[in-house]
Amino acid sequence: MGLNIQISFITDIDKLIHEPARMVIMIVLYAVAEADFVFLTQETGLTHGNLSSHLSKLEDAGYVRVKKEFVDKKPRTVLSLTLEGRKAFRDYRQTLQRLLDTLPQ
Amino acid sequence: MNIRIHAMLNLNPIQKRIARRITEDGLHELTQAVKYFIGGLLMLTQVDEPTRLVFVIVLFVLVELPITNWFKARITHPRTGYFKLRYPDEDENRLRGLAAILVIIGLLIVLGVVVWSFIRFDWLYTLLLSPYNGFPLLYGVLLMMALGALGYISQQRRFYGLGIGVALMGIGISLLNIQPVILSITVFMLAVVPIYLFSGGWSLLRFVRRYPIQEANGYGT
Repeated sequence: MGLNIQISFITDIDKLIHEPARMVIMIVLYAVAEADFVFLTQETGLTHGNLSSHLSKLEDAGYVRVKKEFVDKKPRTVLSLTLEGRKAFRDYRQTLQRLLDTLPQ
Repeated sequence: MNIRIHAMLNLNPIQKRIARRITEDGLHELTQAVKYFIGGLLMLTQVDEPTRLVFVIVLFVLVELPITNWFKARITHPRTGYFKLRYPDEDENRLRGLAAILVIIGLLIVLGVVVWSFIRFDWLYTLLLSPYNGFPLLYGVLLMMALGALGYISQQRRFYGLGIGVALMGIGISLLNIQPVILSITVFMLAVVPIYLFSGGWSLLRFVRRYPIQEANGYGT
């Protein structure tokens, strides 16, 4: 091996989070306790359809919790990371950081 | 690519951006302006009975947040969305949460004792009717420090300007030597209203122009 990279780090990376759009969603949701759909659209720059599609994948994996409520008779979807989602994102960051640290400068 | 991934792993920029969102709409200053205006007017009517002011202060503390949230739900959230700040490691560190609850309970006890002592010993009455005129200066400097901290946390430079304006107003009113203390504080409170109104109104106008109301707020609906 020319490079001193441990392959196990690469296989440990959570592929669900590693997709760029989902990574951005996870970053935003990690930084807040909860946020609604409008806030996520603004902060991630994703379209409604794109955001919905990625959110449903994260929800299916148990990383995102979805709460639907009404404010002034208007629907509002509030999203937050589950404990599992927070742990998954922390692990993802650590794994990626360790991988980057093994790369030559 | 390496640098870009490193940048994405750094959460500081997104946290700063989110902190900026909290005060971007100018509602903080507008609420403060209303608070100081009503507070100043009430103080004018209470000059002879300053002890009652304690209840005015407690009332303001209790109603300020619900009023701000009411306006945020109607002006801010339809434009930039709703979010709730997460305190660092709140899920991981339950001891910190317990410490926060203990601090709040402690503060409530201290507040209770202070309110009780106001009523029991009338020392607020004596203080507010004293001729000492340094209070607007002290009030202005304390507000400047609070606004400076808010500007640093929220990354909004206008708070630094607001802090300087409020401190200068405090110095000016102290130099006018208005007596007694209750009257000088009242004048100070009413004098800072236009500064807060200007800062908040200008920010709100810019916010409303910059962010139109978003149509959909539903996922899977």
